[in-house]
Amino acid sequence: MKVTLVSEGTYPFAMGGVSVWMDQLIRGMPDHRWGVVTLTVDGAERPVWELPDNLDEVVSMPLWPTTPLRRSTRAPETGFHEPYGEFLRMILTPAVMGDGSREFLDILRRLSACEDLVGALTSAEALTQLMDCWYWNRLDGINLADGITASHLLGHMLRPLAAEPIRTDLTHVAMNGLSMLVAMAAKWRYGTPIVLSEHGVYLRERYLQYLTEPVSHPVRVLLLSFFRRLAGASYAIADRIAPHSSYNKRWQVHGGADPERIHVMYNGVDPADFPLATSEPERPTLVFMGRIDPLKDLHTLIRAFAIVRDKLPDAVLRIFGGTPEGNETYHASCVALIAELGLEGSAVLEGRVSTQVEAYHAGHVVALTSISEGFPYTVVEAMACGRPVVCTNVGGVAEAVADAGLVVAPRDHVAVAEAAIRLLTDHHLRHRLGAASRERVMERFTLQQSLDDYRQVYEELLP
Amino acid sequence: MSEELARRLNPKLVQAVEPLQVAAALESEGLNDKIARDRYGHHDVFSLAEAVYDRLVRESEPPPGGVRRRSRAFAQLSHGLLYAMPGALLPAASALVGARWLMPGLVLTTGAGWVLGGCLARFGYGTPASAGTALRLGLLLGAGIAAAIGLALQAPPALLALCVAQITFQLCSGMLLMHRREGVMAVLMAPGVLAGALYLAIGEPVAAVLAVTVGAGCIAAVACAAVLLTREQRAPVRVPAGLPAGLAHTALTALFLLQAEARYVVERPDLAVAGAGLVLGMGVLEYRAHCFEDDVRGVTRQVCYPVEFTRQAQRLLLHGLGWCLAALVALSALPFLFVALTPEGVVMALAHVVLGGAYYLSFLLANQGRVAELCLAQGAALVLHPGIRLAAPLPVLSDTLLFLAACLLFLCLLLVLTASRLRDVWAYR
Repeated sequence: MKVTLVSEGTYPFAMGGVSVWMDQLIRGMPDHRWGVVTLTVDGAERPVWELPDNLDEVVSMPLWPTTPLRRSTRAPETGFHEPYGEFLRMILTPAVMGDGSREFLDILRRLSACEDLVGALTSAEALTQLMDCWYWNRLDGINLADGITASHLLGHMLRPLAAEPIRTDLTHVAMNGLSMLVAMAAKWRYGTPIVLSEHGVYLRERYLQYLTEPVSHPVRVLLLSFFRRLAGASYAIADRIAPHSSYNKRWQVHGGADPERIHVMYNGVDPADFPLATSEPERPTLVFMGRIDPLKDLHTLIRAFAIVRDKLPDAVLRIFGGTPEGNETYHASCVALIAELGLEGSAVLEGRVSTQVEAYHAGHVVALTSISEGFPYTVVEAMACGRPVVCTNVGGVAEAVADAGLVVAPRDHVAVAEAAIRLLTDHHLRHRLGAASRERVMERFTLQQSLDDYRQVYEELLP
Repeated sequence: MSEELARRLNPKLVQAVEPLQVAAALESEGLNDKIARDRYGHHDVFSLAEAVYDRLVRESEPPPGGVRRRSRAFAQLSHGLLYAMPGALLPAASALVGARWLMPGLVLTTGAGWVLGGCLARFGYGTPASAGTALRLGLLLGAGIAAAIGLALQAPPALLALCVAQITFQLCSGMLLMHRREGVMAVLMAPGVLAGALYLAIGEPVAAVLAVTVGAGCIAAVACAAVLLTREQRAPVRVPAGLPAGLAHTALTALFLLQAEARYVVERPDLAVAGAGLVLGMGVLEYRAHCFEDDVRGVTRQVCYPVEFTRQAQRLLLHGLGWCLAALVALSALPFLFVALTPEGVVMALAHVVLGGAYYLSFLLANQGRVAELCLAQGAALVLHPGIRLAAPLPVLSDTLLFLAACLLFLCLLLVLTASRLRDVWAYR
């Protein structure tokens, strides 16, 4: 069996949870052949993972190629305007989430016949269609600059539709959204079945992103409506949907996914890679392990630590993890907050660490204060090491932790601080929860269990 | 209860476009289905989000902001004057080496410097990290070319030095203006201009030597300033995209203008000065081109439909072209205060005015990357002049009329090309 794994901006060009999961999947099923399609920014990205032997090919599909696309200045072919008019009508008409998904799929299929979608969408004719449709359906205003910006972005986002479809036995998509366009093209051309995994919820993350994204209101409306329609269409076409937590399943059902086709599949870790910690550091130590990213809400963690240090002057906060490109400003804001709260020397941004185990073993307690998560590896890995966790209640975190750690509300630095102080000062509780954490991982979240689940799904679709 | 929640979260949710976006935000605030049920009496977060969304108070969308303008009136208008500054030294240089040697040498050097300068501009804008390296290589190459021109003309050593100075000025002034250092350039060249003017007032040979020496020092200072300015941009030279087409365009442009002027620069002062208005007006063309681009980008924020954009942009285009032609007519008239008015001189001046209008449109098309079309249009004009003249020698008046016709053809072709580009509104985003 040959499986194509599709994702946006992850394996093998970036680190992170989804990349870890993809690498695990490929290496964990050496009897399968694999291909990887990754939607990249400009195609200049280079692999940061050592590629397994059973990975036959890696296709980078840039959405914004460095060599600009040759954009046709001629009017688009006549077959474009009808589906594009329907496309606009569907994204600009308020509808119950999930309704009309089959119809939207059909529109995408018809649009995929257009070779130069960027040129077609930004042509004067298509912009006129956009304006007509906007004013027919909405009362708020839009100007031509908004229309051009949104059409230009949509044209690039839809590029995977026009690419040559990948031919393998099965397409396994790591996330909803633009990656699903690759799977749709393969299904329309070759009938390739689709498994859709969702670590987080792609649509929810776009919604959060566009709360602060500096774009105009009409551009925000057009893009988010497109993402909503695309999410619904993806749930409609996927043969199996595999959320990584029950909590995220709610979004899929709300998006029109057939509950019969949804099967929750948790991330797993290899216990041998995350051995039980046998000692603790001398000073009370709180550890964070992950990328420096606004979604991790490190400001809340730093503010919480300020309270912890008031109670435990000896306490240390060690923040392990790299800063992805584009997040330098956020990294700087964390450094500034540490200085502002007078925590220099106690709260330290340690940067990348050679192995995560080293980070987990370096603390008494592991903290994760994210505002959005799927089913985070960092929590399961810390638990496997026998470290109790303090986490915010987002995504599948509460399902992972259950009663083996402390779960508090997101953005509540006082609650995070109280939980951390409790664990740092109560040795008995800390050791009890640490042991329960390891036990919980061994029972439910091992890599082998996760691989067995996926193998079973593949065999159901390709008996 | 949801009213209080909506009021509390309103600042964060003011950008929300639909209830599901509010649901995402509520979850990121720690609300889940249980809290939605227990605290707010809703079935789940999605239902609570709809209630909150309905209660959000939205600020009216601010009116579209203005575009960041790239036009800089005073600085860009001064470019023509800055390019012309070494011209103040011409009488003194001519007295030193003789017009017979000076003019052919300077015409050829100007052409080479034009092409080389165009090449440097592509490095400067296309691969800024290697602009310093490109400038240093360009200066070496330029000096070599200037020396070769001097040797080919079997000119005296003084002319050879002047050719090198001329090409050095062209390359370095271009780099300074690209980096918006108009003030630095004006200050550095001012002593040379004063010395040139002093020579005109005194007329003594010693004053000519002094003026040329001061002028050479000024050009050396300009070169030092350009080299210092780009000292950090020393990455290895990487050929920018579109360099060959850009070079071809610059070469054709230089050929078209210089071949028309070269024949007359020594013996017909009335024709030789006809191009002065165009040189002085280059800043006006540059400024109006920037104004047009700022204005059309502004139009995209004021209209809804492409057809409205095209209509308004066409009006702006003609408005800009009118301004350029009017300014060039005024500037081209100035030299005739000092030299006799002749029919050939008037026709030649008119041709330069029309050519200036075409340059204005060329700037717009080049900024859109339409270099191939520019080359074709320029090629068509070259077929007319000097094409026809080469086939059948013409008297001076007919030759200048033919050049005027070629300029008009060039202008019309570019006007059609530019107007047709205005239908593709995407290009002006």
